[in-house]
Amino acid sequence: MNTELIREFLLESFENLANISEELTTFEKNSEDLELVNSIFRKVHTLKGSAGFLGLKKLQEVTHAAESLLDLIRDRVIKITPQIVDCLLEIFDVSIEMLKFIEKNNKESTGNHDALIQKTLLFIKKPQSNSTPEEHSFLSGVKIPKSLFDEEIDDRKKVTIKAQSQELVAPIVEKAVEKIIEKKKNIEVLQTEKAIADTGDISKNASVTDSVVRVNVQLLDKIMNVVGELVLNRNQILQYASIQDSAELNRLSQQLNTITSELQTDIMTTRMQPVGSVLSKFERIVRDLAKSQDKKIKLEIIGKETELDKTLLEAIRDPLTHLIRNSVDHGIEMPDIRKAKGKNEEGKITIRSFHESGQVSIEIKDDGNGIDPQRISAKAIEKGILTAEQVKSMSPKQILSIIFMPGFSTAEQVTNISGRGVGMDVVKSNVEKIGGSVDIFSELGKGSTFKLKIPLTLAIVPALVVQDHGQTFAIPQISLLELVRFDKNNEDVKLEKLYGSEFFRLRGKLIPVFRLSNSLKLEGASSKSELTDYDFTNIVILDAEGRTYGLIVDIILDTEEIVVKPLSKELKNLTFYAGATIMGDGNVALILDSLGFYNFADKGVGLKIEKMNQQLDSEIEKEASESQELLICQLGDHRQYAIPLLLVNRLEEFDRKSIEWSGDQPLVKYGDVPMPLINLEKSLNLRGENILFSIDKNLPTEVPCVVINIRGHMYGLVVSEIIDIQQTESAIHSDSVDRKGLLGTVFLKDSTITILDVHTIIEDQNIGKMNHQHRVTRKLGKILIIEDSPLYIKIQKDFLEEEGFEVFTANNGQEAIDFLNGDIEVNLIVTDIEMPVMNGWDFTELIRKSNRKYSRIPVIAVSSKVSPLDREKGMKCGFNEHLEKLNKSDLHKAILEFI
Amino acid sequence: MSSEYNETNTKQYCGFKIGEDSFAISVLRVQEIIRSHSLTIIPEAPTHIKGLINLRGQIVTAVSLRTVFKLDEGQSLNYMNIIVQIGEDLYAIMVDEILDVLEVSDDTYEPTPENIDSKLSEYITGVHKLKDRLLILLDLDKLLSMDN
Repeated sequence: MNTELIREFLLESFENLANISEELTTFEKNSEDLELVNSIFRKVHTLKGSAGFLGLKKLQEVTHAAESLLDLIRDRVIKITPQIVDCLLEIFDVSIEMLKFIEKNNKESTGNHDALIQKTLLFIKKPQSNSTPEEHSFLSGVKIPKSLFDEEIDDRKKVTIKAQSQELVAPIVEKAVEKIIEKKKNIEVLQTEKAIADTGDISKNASVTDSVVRVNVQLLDKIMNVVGELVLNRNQILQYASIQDSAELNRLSQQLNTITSELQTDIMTTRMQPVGSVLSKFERIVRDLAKSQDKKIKLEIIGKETELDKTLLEAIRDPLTHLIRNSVDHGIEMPDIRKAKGKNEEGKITIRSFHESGQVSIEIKDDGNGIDPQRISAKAIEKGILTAEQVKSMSPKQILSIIFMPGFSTAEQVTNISGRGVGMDVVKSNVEKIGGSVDIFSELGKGSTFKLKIPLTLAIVPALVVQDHGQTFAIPQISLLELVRFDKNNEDVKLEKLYGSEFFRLRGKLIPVFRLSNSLKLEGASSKSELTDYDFTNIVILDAEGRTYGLIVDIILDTEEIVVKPLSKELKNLTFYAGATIMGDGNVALILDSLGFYNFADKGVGLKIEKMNQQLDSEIEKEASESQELLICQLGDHRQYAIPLLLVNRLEEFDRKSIEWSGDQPLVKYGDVPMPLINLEKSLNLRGENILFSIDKNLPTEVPCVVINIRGHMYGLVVSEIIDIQQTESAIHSDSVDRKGLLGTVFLKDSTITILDVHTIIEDQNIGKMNHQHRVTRKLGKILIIEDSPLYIKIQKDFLEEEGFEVFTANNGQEAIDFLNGDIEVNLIVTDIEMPVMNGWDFTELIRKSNRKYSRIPVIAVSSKVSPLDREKGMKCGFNEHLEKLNKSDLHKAILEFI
Repeated sequence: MSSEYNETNTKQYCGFKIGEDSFAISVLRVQEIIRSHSLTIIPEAPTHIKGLINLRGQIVTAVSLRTVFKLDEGQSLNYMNIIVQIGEDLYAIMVDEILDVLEVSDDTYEPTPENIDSKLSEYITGVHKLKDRLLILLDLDKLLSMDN
């Protein structure tokens, strides 16, 4: 067989068949549209004719049956029914299969389709009499009516170049156009071959082909590349012209700039295709799916003419198919259910595509049952994707987006309609791969809407150009949120260091920041280069799938239109690069991928920071358990020590240069007052030197400090390194303490860590004594603290003693009762709730009921968490006040109220 | 690839030197040869990838054979780049010296000798024993699909 001819035939036939199904389903809805049935008929007719011409007997037989049936429908002898549509659709499917077989094996398959043909013929009342006479002339291989070709050309869904744009691109794409013309000739040759008998009509053909040309997409890709290079070239020329003092060069380069931009836009336009070419396919998919599930669904497609780059269009085909299937399968209810709900029996799915803020949005909206957040969360918990606690803290919107999590949607069955189904996570990742996004809106009982946002094009994108350690990088603007720049000497704006990572407080929210040079280990990253000594810190704030992070770079240069070139295969696993581009100066610059970089640089810190935000900002309720949070840091003896987090005010880093000395006492200006810095090593008599006092020249210039607030005064505890924040529920052992200033030890992550007694340490500082009145001079009253945690006892005791109270302690309710039965009369009781032996509720209830003198002593309960329910219960038991444990100022107020 | 043969059953190779050894790849694979070129370093890239080159608007990945063969990195500044296309990507193979196009008879072909350095043998398809030297045939596709 003539392979060239076969190829052309296949190309044409696939195209014809591709949209024939949707035409048929449209005709089914509107059987008055004669033009439509004519078009369908002509396509089948062409297929049959060509098949006969090429000696493809089987295909010819099948399509002949369809043609005969269509002919009768066209002549209104037979009325179209769903059965007929099914039959015809089956024929089209079979034809496509046959064509695919021919494409693969270069010969016709031997499959038997007699049953299908018989079935078709059953619809035809007078089988042979109606067949058109011209069919025989086809078998001999010649006659094709002229109208057929017009139809073909009209129906070309391939990319078309309008004559107008041709002119614009002419100087650059001369070669391309030559090829196009060549191609056009090919088409004409083919037509001539086929239509030998109709030579007279060729001139008419030519007039149609003159205004529309079929272009190979590969060629367009190439033109796009060339234009990309032209854009780069223009950038170089613009840059060069800007440093030259020549008005003429400037004028010319500006002109070049304009022309290039125009060309770029036009070329981009040629790659644009109406989304309708993809969306229309859904007519058939929805029809077949609905039928197989006995649902009634009306599909409405709005905005078919919205255009999108062909590559992108291809990329969203599968995700869209999945979303549509989803709407039919899970969205629209069965007719009886809909009726019972008072909805129209016929469900409705609307696909709407439109331009929105420089992007194309595609909405898939159904009026079905919507997504039930409770079912989603239950399923997520059941599948172990999320824990019940995690789900609890999620917003309804976040719960909806669980369906996009990997492992959530079950593997779909393989169907004959859309092939192997993909999970929703794949939908999301595919859309995001091309720089788009998916959003869900859903109202239970009323329906759901999926909204896809797709960029118009991929190849040329605006990007921010930055420099670090002399190396240039481009960051696509789509992931850029904002730029922050601050003076390094500004005390109010600074980076915070935790877990060995850096964070920046962006409008109150702690976001992780990475130094580009550190993450990518840029040459000379460890040594201070001239660049990093700039007085300003530049942070590029980026978005990585909803997470915000900062990237510290030396210099922010400019925004530029860059041409994204993929990296070679050898570099594909460097996911933090999105490609490379050529800059105005001719050098290659790497393009950073925001999400990829985040995942690469973050290494799990992101999760910690979320936890940290919760802890430091107290935004999220404290967990109910009696755990203690400890800040772990390392001191000069290279051992780790812990400081109770609730004593910690802030974590800071101070430049050595900013530290002043008053005698032997280091001070640093903190806010408006000097803050003493404490040498823990000396205070605790530890081995090793405090880094602030060390004479080692190699130490970093920044000194990490834990800022604590004791009695309204700030102190900075100088540590070697801040390591982590840990939660512990294990008991604190105080019997192992061998020196003053240590509170006890706790077993944490397989090792014993010593907890610092911050109050005592501060007490022992000489400066402490000058700063406050000595506590024994005031006696405001006696307070009994009932608390099982030695840590809290210590903290509360210190605090209350500082306030001027005499403090007694008991480890549980029973001990407290024993104490109260003794000689000492207290003015107030502060009790914990959860305690062994006797808890706070029982204790208070007991003393309130007793007829002893202590039954009327005010009781303030403190617990980690106070819910309204707890509060109510507490009041019934007889608490005078119920406070959160960490709230010192409330406790202070309450105490003053009762004493 | 019938065009690789001429009447006397010889093949044309692009020869080059790395250290003391002579290597060759089919001349048909060579797109062009350029001198050392300014490189954009790719942080975190595998060590044998030395950077990216702007070759008239196309981006080329530079691969150092010295690193692949685990030789010292003391490559002179006058190294040469052999530009080859593999799949859709352009690579610049960095070598010490170009030996011109060598016309080699099929008779001198021998399979990879047993005693050849194991660091090399996996990237080698065979050798040609020439009068003055041993010409080692490199398998580019293997070379650039390695995972190190």
